[in-house]
Amino acid sequence: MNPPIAAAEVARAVLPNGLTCLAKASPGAGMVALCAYVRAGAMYDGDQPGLARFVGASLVRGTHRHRGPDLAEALDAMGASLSASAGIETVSLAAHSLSDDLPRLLGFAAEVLVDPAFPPDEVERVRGELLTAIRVNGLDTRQVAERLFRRLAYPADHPHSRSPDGDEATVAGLDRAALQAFHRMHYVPGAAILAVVGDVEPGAALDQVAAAFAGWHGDAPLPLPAGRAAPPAAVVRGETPVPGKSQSDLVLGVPGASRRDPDYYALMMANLLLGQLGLMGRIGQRVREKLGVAYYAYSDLRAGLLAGPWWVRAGVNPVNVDRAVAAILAEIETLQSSGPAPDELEDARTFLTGSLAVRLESTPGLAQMLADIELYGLGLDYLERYAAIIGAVSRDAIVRAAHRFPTTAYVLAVAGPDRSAA
Amino acid sequence: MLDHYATTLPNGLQVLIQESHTTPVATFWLWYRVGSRNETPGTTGVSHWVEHLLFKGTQSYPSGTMMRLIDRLGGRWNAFTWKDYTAYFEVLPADRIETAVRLEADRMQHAIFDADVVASERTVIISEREGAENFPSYILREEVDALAFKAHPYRQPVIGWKEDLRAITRDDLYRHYRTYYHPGNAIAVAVGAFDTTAMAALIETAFGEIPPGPPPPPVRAVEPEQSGERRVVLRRPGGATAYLHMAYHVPAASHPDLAPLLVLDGVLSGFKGIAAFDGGGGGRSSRLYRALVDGGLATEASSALTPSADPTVFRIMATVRSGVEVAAVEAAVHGEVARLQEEPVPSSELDKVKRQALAQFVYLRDGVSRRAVALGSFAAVDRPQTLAALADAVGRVTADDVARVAGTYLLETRRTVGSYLPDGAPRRARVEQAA
Repeated sequence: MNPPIAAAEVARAVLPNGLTCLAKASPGAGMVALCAYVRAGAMYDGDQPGLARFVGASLVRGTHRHRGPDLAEALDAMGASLSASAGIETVSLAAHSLSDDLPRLLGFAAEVLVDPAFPPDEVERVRGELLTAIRVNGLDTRQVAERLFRRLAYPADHPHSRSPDGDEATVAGLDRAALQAFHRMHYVPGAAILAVVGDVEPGAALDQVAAAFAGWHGDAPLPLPAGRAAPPAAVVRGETPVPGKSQSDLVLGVPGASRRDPDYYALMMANLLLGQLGLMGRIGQRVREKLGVAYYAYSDLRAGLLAGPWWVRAGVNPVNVDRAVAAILAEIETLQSSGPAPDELEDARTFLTGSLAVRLESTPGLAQMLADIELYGLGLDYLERYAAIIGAVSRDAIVRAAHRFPTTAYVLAVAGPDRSAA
Repeated sequence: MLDHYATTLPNGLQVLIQESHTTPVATFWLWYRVGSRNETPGTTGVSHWVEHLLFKGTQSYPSGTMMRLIDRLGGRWNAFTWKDYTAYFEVLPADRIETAVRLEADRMQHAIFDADVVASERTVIISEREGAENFPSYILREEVDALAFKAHPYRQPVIGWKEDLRAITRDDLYRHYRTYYHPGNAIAVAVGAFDTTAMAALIETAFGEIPPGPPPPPVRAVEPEQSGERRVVLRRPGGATAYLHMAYHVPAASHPDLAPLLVLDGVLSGFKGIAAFDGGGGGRSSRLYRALVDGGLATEASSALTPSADPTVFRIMATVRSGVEVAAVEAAVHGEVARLQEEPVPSSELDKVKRQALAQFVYLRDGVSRRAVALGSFAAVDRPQTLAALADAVGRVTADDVARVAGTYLLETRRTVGSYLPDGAPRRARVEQAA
């Protein structure tokens, strides 16, 4: 089957201001979808945790041309959707509309990325929403366990050491000038990518992007933060009791790899076998199917511009935490010592290559894939080469990759009912 | 826009097919008209548990082989259980869809209910429930439903009460499966890049020989008319802020007021996707967002109407902004409801909501899965024709219709108001490092 994205059908241009834009037609969809990334995530928060998220959340709340409510009114009247949110590495903007409305949608996307006004009343409203979210997340056991994991697994100056939410004291104190300064410094066209997919001719889409973003100027983008994380030297266990809960959520892992890591594909396949393929891979098979102690137990390799975590996550009754941890470690050890079975490896390969069309079923999904291809420098022919890339990953490489998740030196973070009393 | 081929096999299986070649993918769904609506006290959660067991293998596809098959074909599959239905689906490269049809026909009849597997799944499902219990908004919803309905099984949570999950037996599960899993109680939906005639033949070959089975027991419970407002206040640890959840009794999907109620929902919080649980809408210009979020009272505000087989509830929900009294949020909601009843929605606002609805019908065509959900869920709770007619019905809704349904249904005597108030604070982490 043809790959869902082939180089020949993608139009790509770098505008004079440095913005990289991509477009692909998806005929008959009746709609268009945008996906934009700006390297302006919480990795640039510095000593103001929560700053990037605050800026990201304020973008749609008013520009120099439209008050926030007017922007909302215009988008709603088009039946369109436009949202932006800052993660650790990037701010992502996702939008879609009926195809005829593409020029207007691009106009609004350009306004919110290039020209947000940070109106004082909206900034206060956003602050209240962010503070509420920080408090809610502070009692959400999955979030609490993740935060604790990040703090224990990464050095304090590593972007992955904390959640983009930031902390209450900082978010309470950030002023509008700080938001504007962050925006000026990091929202620059050279740090941005915009992909358009939909019922539109790709060349025409790029012309419309160029028209909408022509006025965007800024300094050269900043380099990525250094972000070096050493693997843990020992087993580190942390636990945060959260009152009023039934279940313990656990995160067990190590600092992982970036997309540019030479072993990325071997790691990705080791992770797939460990905690994803089928119903959550070998870990799901053991912890959910055999032991029956968890509804969810899976692994995830968060490889991005930087080395995000490689972790296993599970939710279990507090009395079953130790059993689940032992089972997870045993599965990692088995993969390290025995490697994948030949048919298991074949399953993983056919799944990865065969499922592209299914995974990229929707227009917004295609737009995001196109933006990812650019963000990680994979090449427009990436999906055409994908089967060969996957086919070249050997069994030995997967075994070597599995050893990057040592079972004698990892971080375990648990949040849930207080187990110390038991 | 949602033209489809419809037929019913002699054994009662309803078949809905929509051919679409925008992406080389196809999806096959099997919807059973069974969910928590069909359950009785003592065995709540049995439908959802049966759903889990249908992934544990049959004689032809022993445990694990189904999963491998779908993975190898590059597909994905899953299932979910709701109050009115249980739905199973596969999404596959279009030339592989036959596998899904055969697999669903096989597990309609031949699922193995092994006692050990039932026992192991019990703790998995209790874990699923306990994970949900960690969220105060989930517990609040459960309390509101239990209070809003006193006779109808919509009062029961889909996942089931925990004590029932501890007590349900293998025989309860098997009996439930045998009672409801028949062609006459099911709807097959296929959407994707195939030939309609070939797909119809494929479905007929796979399902045609299966006996129709006895008609499932009817749900006789009728919720008596509510005679006064009901309230529940949850004060317990586990949450950091307050939540408000209001529920008003409204009619079933088959009632002609469905379209005006969906438009009313759109005025309050944006017109949502038509496929069940599709969300969307956004609606930052909507009335609830303006009054509650722009008003500084809440950080999230939404309303929702899930088209249902029996009379159901229209929900209004808010996450209260930290430091704000939940009573202030509730008062603002009452203000918005009164405004709907007293002032006709201006034509510009009505046009905006209709434009959102139009766009949602276009977005529904993207990919294959959402169309299958929309077709299947409407067929399960009413008729697929309701969906096909919905775009026109929404287009005909007038400002007077919206005011009328607001005045008919969003009444004090039809509502249940639930609030969650936080109690207690988080504690600090304990950390230890092994040598």
